[in-house]
Amino acid sequence: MLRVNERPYPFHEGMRLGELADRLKPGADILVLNGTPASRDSLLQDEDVCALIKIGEIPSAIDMQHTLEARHGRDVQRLFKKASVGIMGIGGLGSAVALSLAKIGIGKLILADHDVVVLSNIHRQHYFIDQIGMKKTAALKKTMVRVNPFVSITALDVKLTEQNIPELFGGVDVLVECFDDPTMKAEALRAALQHLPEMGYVGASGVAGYGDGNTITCKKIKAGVFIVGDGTSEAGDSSGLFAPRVGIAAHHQANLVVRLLLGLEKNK
Amino acid sequence: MKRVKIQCNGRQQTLAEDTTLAELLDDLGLPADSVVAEINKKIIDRDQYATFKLSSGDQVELIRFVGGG
Repeated sequence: MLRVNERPYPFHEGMRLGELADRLKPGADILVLNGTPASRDSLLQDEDVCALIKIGEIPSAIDMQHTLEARHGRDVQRLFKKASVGIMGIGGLGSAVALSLAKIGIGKLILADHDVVVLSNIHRQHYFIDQIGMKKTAALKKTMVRVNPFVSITALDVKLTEQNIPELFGGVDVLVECFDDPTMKAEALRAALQHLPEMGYVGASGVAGYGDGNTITCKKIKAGVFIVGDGTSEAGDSSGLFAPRVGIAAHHQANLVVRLLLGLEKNK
Repeated sequence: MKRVKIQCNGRQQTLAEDTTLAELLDDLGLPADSVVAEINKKIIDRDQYATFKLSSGDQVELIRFVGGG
């Protein structure tokens, strides 16, 4: 049996890669055999893995889901597809969390931020020079669609407050706090603990600088509620935010989202 | 002067009578706006910090946030 574009395909002695492409993806621009570009006349062997690529083609939703299922496992992926996650703030933490969750195919993501992309964001946030001046919500949504066009993305260009957080994120499975401002971090946790008691929650505190990456930990506050960071490294004039360490924290947050969705971190 | 004994983040602490939550945070050097306070399993609204008086036996959990994200 061959594996062609992530699906099994029966092998016959004497098959060539070009033949396979003509049958399964006519007009394919690039043929890949076991991870390496290969010519049309490459002779196939049983168990070969082939990718037939038409440059610029957007895969179907079924192909995308199938590919993710092959990578993540079917049960896990089906759960991801049904899940919804809210991300409050899409700066250094939130833009990385959002992209990570789009990549793994979380079904529904709600992003909220009121900022515009500026030059001083680019060094750690997932925006591009040509997006300077765009609303972060619009810019990140565009990037996420390029990563996974089948995630439902709700991008809210709003200023979040302790009062509007429960209504805007009421239905999500997990809420991720990615604010920069410590007052908003406190407001968001208060809102969640008081008004969203059934929801998983992942906040962050202490992600600045270039201190030991292993001091960034996931601290459980109570069932289903976590704070990621070292708890003390504050962003300030003398200690900035660096992409590597913020990225460690963001991916701890994203991994906790996965674990909460899979029921591995006991919810309330 | 009467004193009250509380548990704050697992540690016993003795305070003057009628100490408010805001005063406790001030003593601890914590900016009130960046702290979530839970007292006896109940989250305290931010606008009550200045008036909430601590009593003996209170179990206080403080979660302090620092900026950056």
